[in-house]
Amino acid sequence: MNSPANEWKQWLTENGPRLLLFARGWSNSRHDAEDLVQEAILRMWHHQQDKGGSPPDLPLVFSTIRFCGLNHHRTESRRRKREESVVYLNDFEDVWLDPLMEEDEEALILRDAVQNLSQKLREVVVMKFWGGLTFLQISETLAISPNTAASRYRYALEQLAHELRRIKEERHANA
Amino acid sequence: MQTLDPIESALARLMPPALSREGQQDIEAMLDDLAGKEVSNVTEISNGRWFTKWAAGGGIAAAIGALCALNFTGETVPGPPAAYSGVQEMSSGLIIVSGGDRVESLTDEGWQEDANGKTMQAVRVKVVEENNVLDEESGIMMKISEPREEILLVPVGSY
Repeated sequence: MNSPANEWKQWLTENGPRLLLFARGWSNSRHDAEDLVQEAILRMWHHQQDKGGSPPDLPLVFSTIRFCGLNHHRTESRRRKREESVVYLNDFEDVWLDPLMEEDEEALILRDAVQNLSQKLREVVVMKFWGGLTFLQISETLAISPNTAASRYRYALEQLAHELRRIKEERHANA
Repeated sequence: MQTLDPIESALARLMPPALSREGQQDIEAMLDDLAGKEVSNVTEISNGRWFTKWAAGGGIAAAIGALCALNFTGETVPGPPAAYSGVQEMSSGLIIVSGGDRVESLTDEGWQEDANGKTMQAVRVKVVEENNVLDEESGIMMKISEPREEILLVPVGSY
């Protein structure tokens, strides 16, 4: 029989990347994002003990990461504003997504575009596309209607398409 | 079969990176530590202050009465929620708008002696503390539920 810790570790291996991506949107660095994930998992562990102790459903974890991120943002925002620019400029490895192929120009443009989406749109894209959640689950996580979740997703894709077109045209014009 | 939007096809060529080795190890060590601490149900003896507040609402009286009526058969009796209202400011800028303790079950644990040697009825209580929390900055309302389990000692009134 799988021990509780091993069950959670397997769940973490499977879902860690998507949780980290979502947490990255609520933090200023990859390191802080990992701390958020850890804090959320700790909260989830205690929450799940009354429900058999098995790993939680993803919508609840996303919601918890969001709550922890909101809490941290409030307490850290003043200090981070001074440090953010330095951390970002020096943290060349702090990318939120990796392209499957290094020379995939479109994917690299979209990677930056996703990071630059507004938080409202980015949350939905991350949960829908990489989190695998339905619009109904997203709506429950964000306390919005399923229609609003779907609208935000469509609008985000439009913005990404627009940005991709713009960058390509710019590069073509400069070539 | 639904065709992917061209942007979705491009997004599919991006993958979120895994946790760093250090991050993964930290979380796994935490899970090992948590699993090691989970021996059995909580047997903490509570001072019962929250219980007194809840009892004042009248809810516990009916529940304990029903429990006694069962002649200590060990059956569980769910209790009604005890609510409190009023705004409480949390240190992080969040505001507790409302909340309360919801008793999920009461289970007779038999008779025990307290520190003074007095015979008490031990009652295992499973409670979920639920708070509705408002984030002032964004206006988001969240519900936070925290389950806990306690053993309370209730004076035995009659035999």
